[in-house]
Amino acid sequence: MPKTGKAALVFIIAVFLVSIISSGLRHADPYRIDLDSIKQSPNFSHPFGTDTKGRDIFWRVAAGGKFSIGIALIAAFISAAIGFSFGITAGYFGGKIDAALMAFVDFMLSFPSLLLAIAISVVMPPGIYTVMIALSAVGWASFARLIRGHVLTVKTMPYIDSARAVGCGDLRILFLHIAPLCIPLSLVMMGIKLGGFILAEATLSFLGLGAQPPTPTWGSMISAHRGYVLTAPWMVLFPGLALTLTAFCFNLVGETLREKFELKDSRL
Amino acid sequence: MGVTIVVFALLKTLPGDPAISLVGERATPETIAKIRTSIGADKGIVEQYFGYLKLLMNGDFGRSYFTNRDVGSDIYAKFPNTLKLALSAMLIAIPAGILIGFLSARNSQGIIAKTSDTLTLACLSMPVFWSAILIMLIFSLKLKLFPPSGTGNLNFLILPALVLAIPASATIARVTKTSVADILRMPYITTAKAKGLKAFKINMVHVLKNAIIPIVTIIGLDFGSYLNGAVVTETIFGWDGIGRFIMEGILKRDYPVIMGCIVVGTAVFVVVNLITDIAYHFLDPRIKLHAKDR
Repeated sequence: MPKTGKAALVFIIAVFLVSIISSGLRHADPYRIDLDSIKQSPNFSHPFGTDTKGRDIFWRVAAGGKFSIGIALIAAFISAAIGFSFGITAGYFGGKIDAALMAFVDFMLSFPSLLLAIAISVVMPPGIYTVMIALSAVGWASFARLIRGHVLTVKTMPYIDSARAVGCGDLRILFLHIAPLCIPLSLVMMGIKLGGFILAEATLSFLGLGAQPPTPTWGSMISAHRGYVLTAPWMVLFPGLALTLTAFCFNLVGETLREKFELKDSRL
Repeated sequence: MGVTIVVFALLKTLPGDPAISLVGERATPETIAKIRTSIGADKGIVEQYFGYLKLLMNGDFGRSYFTNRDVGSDIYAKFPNTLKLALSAMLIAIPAGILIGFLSARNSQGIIAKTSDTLTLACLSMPVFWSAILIMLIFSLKLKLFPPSGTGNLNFLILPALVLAIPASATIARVTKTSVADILRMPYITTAKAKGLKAFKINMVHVLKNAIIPIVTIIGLDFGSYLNGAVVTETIFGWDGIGRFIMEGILKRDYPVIMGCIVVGTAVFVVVNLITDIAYHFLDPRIKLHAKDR
């Protein structure tokens, strides 16, 4: 498995790099409207064809990569940060604080996640930042649960007792002696969750709740052209393919991480 | 005991309301004050929120801003459709998932396992809205086997159910595989084999019965993703259920509709989780109902 994991990681990085680099190329403008060449099927100058406004789908797909991957990364990072703070606080202090925080976490986990994300996206003006917030609001709870569990085991280690014996305060122990041990775990967890974040982002933008047109996100490209699927299937096919491949690679990486760090619970 | 479960379920549903209050806040568009008064949006957020809560307590979901129809009765009319869709998806996903998981657990390093691992991961990576469009393209537009969209009899049901079943069966297959593989390593399976029992009997009685708990858990938990998937699938296939209802509500910013669907969706989710918990007891009598699992 590690080999496929590495290959998947390389693919993701490649997609991201192509996306970033293409935004610097002049002829790769994903917004350029060319009414002379609308709805062209894939050909030599437009490898993925063109859409209803003559925009080149290859470059739009390429440009979409940085939005999808970027939003997923940032949302995963925010989720990890919130979940991390909740988790270490609940795990370290225990007792009533733990019970209260974990009740909240369980409540968040009991929601159908997409409905909650939709509700948040409806309330806030649609856009990239709203998607990030919605995804983080849905995603942080499972981080909190995992980190809390980890803190509970770390807390019982002898070096924590000795730190306390030397006279360290709660905050010092929490931030200098416990938190650093939880960071690798949160990073692993981020890797595992990224595939899900990519798909959730795409779903939100498919529903028109994400980045607004003409921003080329994969979800919104599929959504905008799904009426042409019979006459011009390439408009829907390629963004979806890019999306599926990227999510697949993220899931492969996640799978590799999960196996390596033996996080067995598939719902984590 | 029954009461505690009901209270528990209620408590779990109830805190959906911060969302309600937020939605109430946006319900004040720059339209005329008259409309605002008529939908009650000129009142304070807190007042709106408690007003909504009070309505909800009486089983009233309010009226749609656009159609002025009673949201509760609309949901009541559309809910069976969504349920039908979800159940038929499960009817496809559960046997398929368990079969694939079982086969790949039986030959864990072999070709079947590797193929199914890759395949299930691919299924999970495919966004529902994309696979829906592809399936629609192939089966109804090219092959013309099934109608592309609409609500109605079995013909209309098959494609959306299939789309929903793809990621669900993949999840079930993965869980089944892990669970069955764990059981197959148990000494009593060796004993059963040594006693000369038929492979079929070992699989059915000894393996599946013991491996079933995680599978049931994932099916229950996955019900939430059926609801998630239903939003997209129903919109694409024009299936007249809750999912499409909420999407229309979102597009028109019809807050009573959105809130009603989210409240009902969450309630269903909680109830399904509850049923799953109760099902444990019947599948494995060692699990006691009153001992909370957490």
